[in-house]
Amino acid sequence: MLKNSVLTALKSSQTVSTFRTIANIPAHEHHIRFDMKVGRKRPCSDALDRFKRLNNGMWIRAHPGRNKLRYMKDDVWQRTSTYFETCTQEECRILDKLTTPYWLRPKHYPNDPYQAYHVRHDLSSPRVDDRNQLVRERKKVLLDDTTSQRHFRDC
Amino acid sequence: MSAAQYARLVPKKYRSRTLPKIDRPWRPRIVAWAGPAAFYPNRFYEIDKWYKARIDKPQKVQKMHIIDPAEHSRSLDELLANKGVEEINIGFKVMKVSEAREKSVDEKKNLERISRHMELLINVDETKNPNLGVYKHFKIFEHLFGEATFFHTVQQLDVSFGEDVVFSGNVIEAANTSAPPSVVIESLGNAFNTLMMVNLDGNPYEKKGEMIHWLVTNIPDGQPVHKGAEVMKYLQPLPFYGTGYHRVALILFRHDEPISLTPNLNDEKLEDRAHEIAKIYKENEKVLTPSGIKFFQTSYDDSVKQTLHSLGLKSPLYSYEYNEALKPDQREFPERPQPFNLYLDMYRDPKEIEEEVVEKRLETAQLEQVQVSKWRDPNYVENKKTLPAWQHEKIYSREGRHKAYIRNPIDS
Repeated sequence: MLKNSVLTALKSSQTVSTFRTIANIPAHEHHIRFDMKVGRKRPCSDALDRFKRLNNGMWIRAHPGRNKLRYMKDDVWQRTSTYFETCTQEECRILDKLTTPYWLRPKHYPNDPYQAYHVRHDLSSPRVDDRNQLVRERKKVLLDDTTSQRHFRDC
Repeated sequence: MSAAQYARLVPKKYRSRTLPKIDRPWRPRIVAWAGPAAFYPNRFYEIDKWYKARIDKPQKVQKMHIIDPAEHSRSLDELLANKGVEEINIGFKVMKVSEAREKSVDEKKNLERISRHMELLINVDETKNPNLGVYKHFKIFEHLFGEATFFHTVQQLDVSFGEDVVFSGNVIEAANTSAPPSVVIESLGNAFNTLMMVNLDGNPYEKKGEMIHWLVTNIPDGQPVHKGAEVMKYLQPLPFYGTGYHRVALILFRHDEPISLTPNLNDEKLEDRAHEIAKIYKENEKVLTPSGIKFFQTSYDDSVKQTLHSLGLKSPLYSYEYNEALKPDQREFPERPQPFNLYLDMYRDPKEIEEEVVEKRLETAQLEQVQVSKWRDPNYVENKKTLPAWQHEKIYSREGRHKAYIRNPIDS
C-alpha cells in the first residue's frame, strides 16, 4: 500500500514539471500583477529572486543553465559559467518596470560585498537624467562636476 | 524590379494590369539539407583565381623559406677570417714565462684522457691571471675604456672584503662591503700604483659616467694601500633597490712618477663621484697604464639604504614601468553579458583595488611577515557551496591582483 503511494507520487512528479522555464511560465506571472489591497503594482518576485540590482542601475544575474550537464562541458565553460553577468539596457529597463520604486532606491548594507560595484568609474555618458537627477550616484551637496570629482571617488 | 522601372522599360500598350513579380530571388535562400551556408563564398579553401590563358599555373612559394644566395655570397673561410674591429691592448704586454719542461707524449696523452673523462680539475684559486673572456662577456673593458679595448692583468691584485674574496664577477653582499677591502698589490720594482674602485651601473644622475667609489693614487710599489694619497674616500657600492646586480670593478694603474689626476676629483657629494673613466684615462693616458683588474657584483641590501641615509640622501626605488593593459571602451550597459565584477574592475582605479587587497591582508596579519597559511581557504567546502564564485575567488585566489595578499613589495 505504502509502496504504491510512493510510486504514484513519483509518477505524478514526473509528469508535472516543477521547473519554471521560458516555456513554462504560469499565466498569473506572465504580466505585471496589480495588488488590490495596496492599490498599486506588486514587484515580480521571480525577478527579485533571480536578479540583483546594483545601486548604479545595473542588474546582474547568474549564468542560465550553469548547473546543467556540467561534466560534458569544457574547462573554460566550467569557470565562466560561475560568473555573475550583466544585463543589457533593455533587460535592465524591463526589470526596473517589474519591480516597485522601493527596489530602485539605492540600498546600503554593512559589509556589503557589492560595495565597490555600486558606483561606476571612467564613464562619460550623462550623469543626470531628464529630471536632472543623478542617475548612477548618490545625491550630493556639491553639484558642479569638477568639484565633485576632486572630492568624491564615485562618478 | 520596381513599378517605376517596369513603366520605364515596357510601353504602356504591353504592360500587364498588375506588376509582374520579376524581382523574385534567383536562388533559394537555404537548402533544407545544407542550410544557408551552402551559398556563402567558400572560406575554407583558397579560391583559385589566376589568369586562365596562361599555360602554367602560377606557383606560390612561401617567402619565409627563401634564402637569397646573393646575400650570402661570402664563404665560410671569409666569414671566419673577418673578425670585425681589431681590439687594442691598452695595457702591458704579457711576459712570456717559458714552461719549466716540455710535457712528454705520455703525459699529454694522460692529460687528454683525464679531461675526456671529466676528471681534470683546475684549482681556480691557483690560476694567476683572470680569464679575459669573463670580462669581455660582462663588457667591463667596453664600458670602462670604450669599445675594442682590453688589457692583460700583469700585476697580481688580491682584494678581499673580510672573508669575501674578489675574483672575476663573483657576487658579494652589499652589507659585507661596508668597510674598505684589504688589498695586496704585487711588487714589481720601482714605480707607483693607483687603485680605483668603480661601480659601472650605479650612476643615477643625468650626467654620463660611472661612480668612483674609491680612488687611491701614488701607492709606492710594495707598500700597503694606505701609504698612497686617498683622493676619494671609500664609499660602499650603492646598488639601488630594483636595479639588480651592479658590476663593481677594481682597476690597478701603474705609473713611473707620482701623479695628480688632471680633472679635479673630490668626493663632497655623491654626484661628484660620477665620472667617465674613459675620459679620465684619455687625459692621463701618457702617464697611466692599466696593469690589473678584478670585479665583483652586488645587489640591493638594507645596508645601501643605511649608507644613503647617512649621506643625507633618500634611497630611491626603481621599478619597471609596464604598459597599461589594453581595454575596450566602457559601455554603460554592455551589449553582451559580461562578468560584472571583472568588467567593472577593469575601469576602476587600480590603486583602489590594491587597497582592497591590502586591507584584507591587514585584517588577518601584520604588514610585515605575513603568515601564509598552508591552505588557501580552510573553509573551502562550506564557502564553495554558500558563496558566489566571484566572492569565493577573492578568498582563495592568489593570482592576478590577489597576489598582493601574500606577496607585497613592502616585504623586501
